[in-house]
Amino acid sequence: MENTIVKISNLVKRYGDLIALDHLDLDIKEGEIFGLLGPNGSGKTTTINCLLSLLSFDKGSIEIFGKEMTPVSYDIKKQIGVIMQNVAVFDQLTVYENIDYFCGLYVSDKQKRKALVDEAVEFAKLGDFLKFYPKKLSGGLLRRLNIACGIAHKPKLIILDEPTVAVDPQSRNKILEGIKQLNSSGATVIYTSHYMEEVEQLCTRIAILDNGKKIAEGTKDELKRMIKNTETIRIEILGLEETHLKEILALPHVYNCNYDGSVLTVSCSGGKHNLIRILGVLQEHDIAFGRVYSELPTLNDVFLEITGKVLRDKGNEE
Amino acid sequence: MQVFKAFLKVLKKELPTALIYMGVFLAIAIGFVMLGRDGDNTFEQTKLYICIFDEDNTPQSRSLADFIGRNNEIVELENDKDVIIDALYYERVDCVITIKKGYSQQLADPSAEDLIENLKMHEGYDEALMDMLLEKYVSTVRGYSAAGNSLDQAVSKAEAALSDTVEVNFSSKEKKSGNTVINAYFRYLAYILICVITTTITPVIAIMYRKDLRFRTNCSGIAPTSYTNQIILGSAGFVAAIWLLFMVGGAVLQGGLYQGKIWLAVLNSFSYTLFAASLAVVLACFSLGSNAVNLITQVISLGMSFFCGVFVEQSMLSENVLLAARFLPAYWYVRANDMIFSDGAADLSEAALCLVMQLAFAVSLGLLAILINRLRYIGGLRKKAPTA
Repeated sequence: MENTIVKISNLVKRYGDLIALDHLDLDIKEGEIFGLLGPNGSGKTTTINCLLSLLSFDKGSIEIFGKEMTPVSYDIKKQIGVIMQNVAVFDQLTVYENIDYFCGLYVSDKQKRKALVDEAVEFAKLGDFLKFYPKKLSGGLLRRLNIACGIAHKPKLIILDEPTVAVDPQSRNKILEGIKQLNSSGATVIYTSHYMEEVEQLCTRIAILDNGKKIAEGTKDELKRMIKNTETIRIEILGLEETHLKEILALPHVYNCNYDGSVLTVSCSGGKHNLIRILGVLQEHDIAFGRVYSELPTLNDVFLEITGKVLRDKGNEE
Repeated sequence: MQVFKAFLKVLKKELPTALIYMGVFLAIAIGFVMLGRDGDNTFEQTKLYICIFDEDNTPQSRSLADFIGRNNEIVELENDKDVIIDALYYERVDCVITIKKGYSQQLADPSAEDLIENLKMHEGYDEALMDMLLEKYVSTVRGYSAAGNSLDQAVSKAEAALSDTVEVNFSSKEKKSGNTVINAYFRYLAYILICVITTTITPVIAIMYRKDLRFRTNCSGIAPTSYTNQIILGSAGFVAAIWLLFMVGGAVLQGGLYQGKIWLAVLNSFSYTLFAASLAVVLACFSLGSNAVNLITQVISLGMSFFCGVFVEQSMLSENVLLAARFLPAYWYVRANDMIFSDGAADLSEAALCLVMQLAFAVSLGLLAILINRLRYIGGLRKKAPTA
């Protein structure tokens, strides 16, 4: 992870009065799976479109493979594979013809292309469906075809823009496994999503975007270290009184305490025996409790703490 | 040439529609030629199948039988009621005429009635004409007889008078040459060229410019101009092939290579083909489905055909209709076509005017397509607010 593959400097994109990208800086190193995380409207797709020179921008610069990216940088584009959330294939062509067509946009040598297409077919496990037309394929197979079309030419940089939206869990896992496989074979991956679990599971480095701004960047551990929260404890309790809450809040390392009538949620910052101390308070007052959970911070906690809002858009969940 | 190859593969899926249109059109054209060979522009009197029973058997009655037989087919039947009814029922004869006994004696008598009996199954137009002819025959003989002629003289004069025929000609304002079949073939091309080209090419171009596919292509190493050029090449190849096929079809129907001023008609059809191609491109700008394209194509092609004199000759259309039709390219195509196929030398300046008008329509539509794409591109940029 030495060379910088993508360098975005001070990128500004405006739509009238709306600032879609606000002085965005990103450095993506070779061999990374770089996650762009953010809610809908945060600027992820705009960043990708600017990166691919599909959109002009107002300020800043983009370098890919050490060269400035422009709409006519075809030598750079040839080394990039793009997989969007919508399946973009020809319904009139078979699975094989589709992969061959999109591969052919990058590789003109027929023999070389055949080998690459065969490899992509093998990678996407589409060997049994080569003569099928896309309309005959299931949703999961279509996604695999979409990915095969995007990576058949063996790009050095692969950009995946929310590839798992509207995908069933089984297919999602296969897609994520495939992305890891592509990365292990040498490709640098830029992965955008608003599913934090995916990003957490997949990405080596993550940038969190909100309202066009990069609000945090680093590995998932680095991001989690940025916030106060180190542990969230949840305990199922009935009949907890205000005085008990005050007592728990007064415990060392506890900085927030919340009770909704059935679950006590305690946020802790540092310390090693937070759970034992809280349970001690409950036992002291002879308060019965049910299940107990102790959770390490998630990216959602990171996002929540930095922006004050929940990352996941419930309306978009499958 | 990856895009070009993909274009052809997508085109292959749309080809059956084009082939159906072409097949039906060529079948109709061949049928038209076959019918045309059986005496186009000629008139022939209808002949009836008639059985005559001459009960009188006199020179006058035989003369009447001969007169009837001259313009009709005489059928021999047994003089039996059942046989006659069967023959009429099964239409072996159209009517059975009986010249009754005493015909010659009462022929000159104006008060005598029912000299001839005409049995028929249907009261059709032809049968009614036969009744009128018999009545007219008798009254004419009586007229000549009353004028002082002998009965034989009256009969022969009446037959001579009734044998006079009128020359029948088809009326047309246009002076047509003998090439009516090939004229009609080229005229109907105005309809079929639009149908074949737009219903085939429009959906293919729309697919190739589908937003998500274009997005993917724009991300690739292929330049947008190269992409567009390959689609233009594919479309032009298809349009040229269709036009050539129709030209070959016309030559086959004509029975040989085009000669003389028919080459002008070939050129005329080429300029109209360019218009049809630009119409297809404009329709493709709206990303319509096949059904919508078919519907719009039919409205445009049929509308222009009726309005501009493709199906009904321009000479039959009113001045007001023709005045309005000038704003449509089919009018100029048909006008040039009619001029080319009329008798006499072709008016080259008029042919040039018609060709230029059609090309102007083609260029206008081409510019309109560019404008629509430009507006959509600008609109797309304005609307492209961040989604994620």
